[in-house]
Amino acid sequence: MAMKKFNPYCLLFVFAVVFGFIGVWGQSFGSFLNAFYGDGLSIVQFNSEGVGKLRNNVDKALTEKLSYHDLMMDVGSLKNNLLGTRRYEKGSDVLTVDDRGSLISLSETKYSDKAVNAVTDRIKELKTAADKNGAKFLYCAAPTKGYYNEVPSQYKDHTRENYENLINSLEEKGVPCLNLYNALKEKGVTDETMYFNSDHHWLPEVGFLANNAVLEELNNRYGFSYDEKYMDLNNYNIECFPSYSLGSYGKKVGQFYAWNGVDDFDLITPKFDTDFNDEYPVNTVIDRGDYEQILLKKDHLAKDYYHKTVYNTYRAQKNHIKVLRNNLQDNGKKILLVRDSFGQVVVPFLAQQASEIHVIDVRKDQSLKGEKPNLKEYIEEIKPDYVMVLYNGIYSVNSGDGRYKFF
Amino acid sequence: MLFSSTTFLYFFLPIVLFFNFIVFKKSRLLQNIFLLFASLFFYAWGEPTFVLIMIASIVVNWFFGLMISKKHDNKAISRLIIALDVTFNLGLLFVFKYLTFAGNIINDIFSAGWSVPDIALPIGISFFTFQAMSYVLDVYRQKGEVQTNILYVGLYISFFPQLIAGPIVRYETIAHEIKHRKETLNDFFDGFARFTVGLSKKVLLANSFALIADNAFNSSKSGDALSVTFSWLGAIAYTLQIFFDFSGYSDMAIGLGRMFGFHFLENFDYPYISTSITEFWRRWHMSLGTWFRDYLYFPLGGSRCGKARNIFNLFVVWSLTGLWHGANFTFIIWGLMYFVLLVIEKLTGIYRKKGKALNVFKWLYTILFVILGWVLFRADTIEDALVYLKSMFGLNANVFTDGVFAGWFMQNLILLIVGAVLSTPLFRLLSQKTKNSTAAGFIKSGALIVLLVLSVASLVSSSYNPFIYFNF
Repeated sequence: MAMKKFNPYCLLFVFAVVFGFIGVWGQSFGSFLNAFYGDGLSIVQFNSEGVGKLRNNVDKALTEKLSYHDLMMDVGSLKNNLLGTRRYEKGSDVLTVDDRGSLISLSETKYSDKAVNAVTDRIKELKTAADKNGAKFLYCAAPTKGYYNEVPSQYKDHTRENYENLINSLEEKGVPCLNLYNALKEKGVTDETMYFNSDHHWLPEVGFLANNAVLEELNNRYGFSYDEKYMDLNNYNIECFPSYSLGSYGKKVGQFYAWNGVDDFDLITPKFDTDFNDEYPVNTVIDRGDYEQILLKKDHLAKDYYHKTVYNTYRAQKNHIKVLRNNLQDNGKKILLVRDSFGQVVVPFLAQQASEIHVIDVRKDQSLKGEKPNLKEYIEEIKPDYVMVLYNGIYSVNSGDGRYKFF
Repeated sequence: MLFSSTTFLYFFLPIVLFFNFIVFKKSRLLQNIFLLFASLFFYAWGEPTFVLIMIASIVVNWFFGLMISKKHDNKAISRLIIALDVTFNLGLLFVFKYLTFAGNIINDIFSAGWSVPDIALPIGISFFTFQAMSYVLDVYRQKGEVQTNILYVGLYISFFPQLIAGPIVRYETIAHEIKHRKETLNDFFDGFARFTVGLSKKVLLANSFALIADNAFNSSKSGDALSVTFSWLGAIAYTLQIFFDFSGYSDMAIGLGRMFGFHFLENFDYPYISTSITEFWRRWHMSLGTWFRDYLYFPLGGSRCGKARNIFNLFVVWSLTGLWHGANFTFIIWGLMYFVLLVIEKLTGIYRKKGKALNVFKWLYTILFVILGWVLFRADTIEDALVYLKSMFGLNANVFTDGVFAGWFMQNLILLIVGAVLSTPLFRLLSQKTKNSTAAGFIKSGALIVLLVLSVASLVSSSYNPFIYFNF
């Protein structure tokens, strides 16, 4: 089989072999073998479900676990940037890059009145449970990114419409609601200073201001008294980690989707003393420490674009329920907060203002342990003074993450 | 399993190459058996239960092939066996692909109220049933020796390079190569280069055009008013998508076949430079066109009969060509559109006439009908197709142009230019002119290395990798 004349395409093949070998060396090969060890027999058993599982695990082993996965993401994103690509379809997300180089998820579906009502009915049920137990209720509506940012004109996006329909529906049903879009605008937050470029979340400073807006709303509605010392950013240290964070959207499309793709990350820590108990369940102390020990998870504060989520530095929550007892706050206030990820940068500041906060995440999340509480029963058990929900945007009532399954 | 997937590139292909060329190097029998089981595994990876259908097809067609070769001297029995074989293969195709469609039509016309089963379509069934028929028909026509070894028949029918998206490889093309093929390093490396070209076409071009086309067609389907220019952009994007996707897959199939010592015939020959519909169908999906020509058109009489009969023969072929593409009226009408155009060309003889200005006119009308035809082909229903077509001509009270078109067009301008250039044989001409140049060879190799890396990067970073052959 010897070649009579040198064929330059042999270089292509040799490169491909070496390239492939380097790619699977290490973690990829191990994950690949594990996948077959788990479900390999499904093929000869003609088992569609088993083969489906095998396929997913092998796909994962041979994409996410390749030794040069991160480099390939960078190359792919660079190629797209150079070609002027502005739209990415990744799984169920449709992302676009706006004129400022910020990634936005398009909400191409306009939620019907029926769909919106289904969501607000659930929220109203939660309010009813709070009322029955003498708790004051507040729904805090965080705006999603598309609300602020200008989506390129050729794309459909119903973010603003969906958000406003949600607020209107809640108000019609008499559910106390805080429109955080308006509240933050009043505090001088602008498009440019609101969100990370590569992530769907708002910045930590915005979470701080959102907390202030929530406290002011509680005060206006229910006479909630707060300590202004904790609402002044001058009483906090802000440490900037430049080009540290590639957010959830950026991880999907690669860091070079825009020339300013990677975000800076600010870590806000108090200048004053703090002392918290981490309890689970309530009154069972599992840890005690200061703000950084109990409210932050500094393991996530690492410059590893595709494998670390720096935003989760503000998320020290292992279970669906996290009970925070503020040992230096004796106002006796008890707050139950049902939150999604937007609440991560609100909780550390809200925790300064109450003696006890129960932070509940009802969403399906494999990283969260423990049982999801039935909130009717939980509210009855702990008798909070305030029940709040802080969610961004609106999702389908049967959303896959189960965020509206309060009971 | 898709060729354009990391699973194929990093797992299946290296293992198959290793076992074929290293472990079973000294035994053709073991190589063929291994390739058969690898091909069945390839199919079962996506269709673990439907692989049994394919195995049944292999067994039945092997049996009929044996019978045909034994009874060849007895014309009546031979014809009966052929009839049985065709009935079995078309029956299989009918049950899985057309039964639901036919049942719904009967219910609609006769209000029969039948309970119509919703049967899942095994991927590639249109390809492998036609290949299976080709085996028995070619044995009957003595264009290839009968394979007494069922495993070799299995290998021919299920060989993974052409299994799910063609080309439809005729038995006579590779009959000799099943047992007597010669693998050479040149073929191997050239085959791999061809595979890389196909992979790049699919991943870097077709998938990008798909985003535009899907957006346009889905928007139209959901009731949005498309501007004239955007609807044309969507149609042109689909025209480019289907070409680069399908020809890309064919390149990968031909390249892979060549690596293993098989020489498949070409399936595409720059169809969008055609100056007549007649010429278009001699350049587009040639394996299907020649299959219908040799196994249906010619036996019906072809053009060696009266005009009326010839037109009837064309009608049969083009209705079935349309129907082969999918169980939907859109495909039937698409096929019949080509029937009408081909008859017009035949009667006027325009496809034979030459002249610079005439050629431009001919190219324009050809590409126009091809694009309009792809709108029919892409649409889910006739109604969707009509709405879209009306948008293209401003008949939906739609604006001529808008920001939607401007945005999509400007963002994809480079790709559209690349797509247009690569639809012409410019690079082939350049390649032929430089084929003896070592420097050009290194440059081509280098360029393909870059394309390979970009393709892998695209596969790793993107989840948008549509498979458009689910109707087949």
